[in-house]
Amino acid sequence: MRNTVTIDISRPLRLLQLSDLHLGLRYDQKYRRLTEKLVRDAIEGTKPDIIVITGDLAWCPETVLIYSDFCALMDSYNIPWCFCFGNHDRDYVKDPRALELVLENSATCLYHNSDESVFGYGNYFIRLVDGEGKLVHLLYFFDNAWPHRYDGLSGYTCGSLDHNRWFRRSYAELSRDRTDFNVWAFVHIPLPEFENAWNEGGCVGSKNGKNACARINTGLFCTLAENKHVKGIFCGHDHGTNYMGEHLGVKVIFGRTTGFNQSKLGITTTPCGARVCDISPDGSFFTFFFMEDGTLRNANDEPIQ
Amino acid sequence: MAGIRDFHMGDNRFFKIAQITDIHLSSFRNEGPEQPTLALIEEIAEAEKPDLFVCTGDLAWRHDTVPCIREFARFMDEKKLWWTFAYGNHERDYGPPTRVIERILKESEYCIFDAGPVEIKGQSNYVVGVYNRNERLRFAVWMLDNCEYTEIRGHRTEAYIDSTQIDWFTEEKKRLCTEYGDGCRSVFFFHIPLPEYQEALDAGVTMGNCGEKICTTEVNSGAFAAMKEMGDVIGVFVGHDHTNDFVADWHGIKLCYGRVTGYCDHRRGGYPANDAFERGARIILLDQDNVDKLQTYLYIAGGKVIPQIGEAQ
Repeated sequence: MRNTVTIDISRPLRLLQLSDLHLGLRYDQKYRRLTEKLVRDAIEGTKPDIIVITGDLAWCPETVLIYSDFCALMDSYNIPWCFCFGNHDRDYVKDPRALELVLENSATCLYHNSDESVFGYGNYFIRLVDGEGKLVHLLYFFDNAWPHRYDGLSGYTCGSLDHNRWFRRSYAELSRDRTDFNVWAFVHIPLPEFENAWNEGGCVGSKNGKNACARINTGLFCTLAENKHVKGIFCGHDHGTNYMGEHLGVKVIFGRTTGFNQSKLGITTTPCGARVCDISPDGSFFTFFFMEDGTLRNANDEPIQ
Repeated sequence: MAGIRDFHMGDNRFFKIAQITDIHLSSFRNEGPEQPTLALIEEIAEAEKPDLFVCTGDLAWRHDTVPCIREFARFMDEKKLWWTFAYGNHERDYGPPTRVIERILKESEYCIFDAGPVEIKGQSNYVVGVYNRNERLRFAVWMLDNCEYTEIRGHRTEAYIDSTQIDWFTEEKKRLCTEYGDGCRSVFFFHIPLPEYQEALDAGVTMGNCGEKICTTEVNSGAFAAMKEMGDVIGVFVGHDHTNDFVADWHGIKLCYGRVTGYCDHRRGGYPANDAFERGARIILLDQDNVDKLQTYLYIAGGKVIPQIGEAQ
């Protein structure tokens, strides 16, 4: 599976983030059609260089079928895309490998396992390089939605220190010759420090209640923050929350909920859309939202006239 | 030998640890607070007869840190009291080279101390093994140094147990399991509380005193998660916040504060601890017949005992 994409550094990289599509709840066709139309509109409307899906692509017993259909949709655009699992994608499959095979069979999907021994599924990095092969952006995907069954602990526990160790050793390899590139991390579940960023003020965008983080902090934010080349961490998971802020100098970035199926009743709680990011080679960052009705909103979740 | 020194319980059902903390010695003049502090330690030794004293830091804290530590080590040797030591945040305030402190502690007969691997953060990272009646390793007593300030992105923060230390104790525990078998339980001792202490307080599941703000690190390095991943940690014991002595069961691990031991006298410009707060120690019972069941109570100067988890002995 390839882990390198060549980008044009004469202009900012356009990254389109989709999240929490929740396709196919009980194979509900109405919401699935609306969501797929939004995905098409967003890709055609924003013309991204790369697409990232921060989890919860599907939420139904027919997950493999939904994934296959979705990969076909994405393949039709011939734009490279990345994916990290959410907490619902694997609810109905006995073995997540079945979903991995679908993703790996897609011509345009870059999902893979950089190191099979790392906790969870789909822990990998993607190198975005310029025309001469020089690394410009390093994208890291962590499976922080795979539950860790600690003894004597009930409830919501995800992620592992394995991710921290893997990040440090793989980064050491990748940065042997040079370190003048940006690192961006992608997870499904917001790290606890995302709440700190909100409480510190200065965030833009909306927040829909308390972030639903894992109950135990595995120190992933600390590990990423200790690396001064890490510019930002993207996540999904909290429907209706789409704020961006900063904590300890690291950007924390919620995606915009893309799926019309946001609850068991299939009722949307917020206007759906996608986050568009224009990222320059020096790491500077401009972002806005593409909405379900084709309009745009700024980073503060306000309509752009 | 599992740790840098091992204990053998024989037929004693319990291994008793007396956690002493925040002793804040600053001189050994007769009019100082050191005399009541040392008298209290003698009292605890007499009343409780612990197998081991564990000092979770701030043993001394002024310009005469080194002579104070030397005198204290001499005192413990004289009384034949085994003890371990983890740095607090004050011993290095006046810049005594830690190798000087290390030499004093290692040369003293009854102090069990090691600086730990040089490549990891801190200067008091080591483990002591406790064997049961069948000479099986049953408890690992971990000492950590979490007291050096860290700068993260230009932001100076209270120390955290960092990835080098986490990786060290994770790997070291695996080695212990490989060499000595499973079935060993771990207890950790260090100075500064984990962020999870604040979470436990916020969740309302603490029992005991919380007389002051919990002074913990702003950055969570995942040390508590690492302990959960180890799978065998039954208790964590800290100091630092003098009028806090609470315990909490947090996701299956007992998070405990010690009970402040030192009578540092704020009239001499010492640390403004609450003079009315009675000094004491935390007594911890490790049970070789029920390794998961940690019991602990507070011993208060004068002989009062405050049960917290399990039965006071």
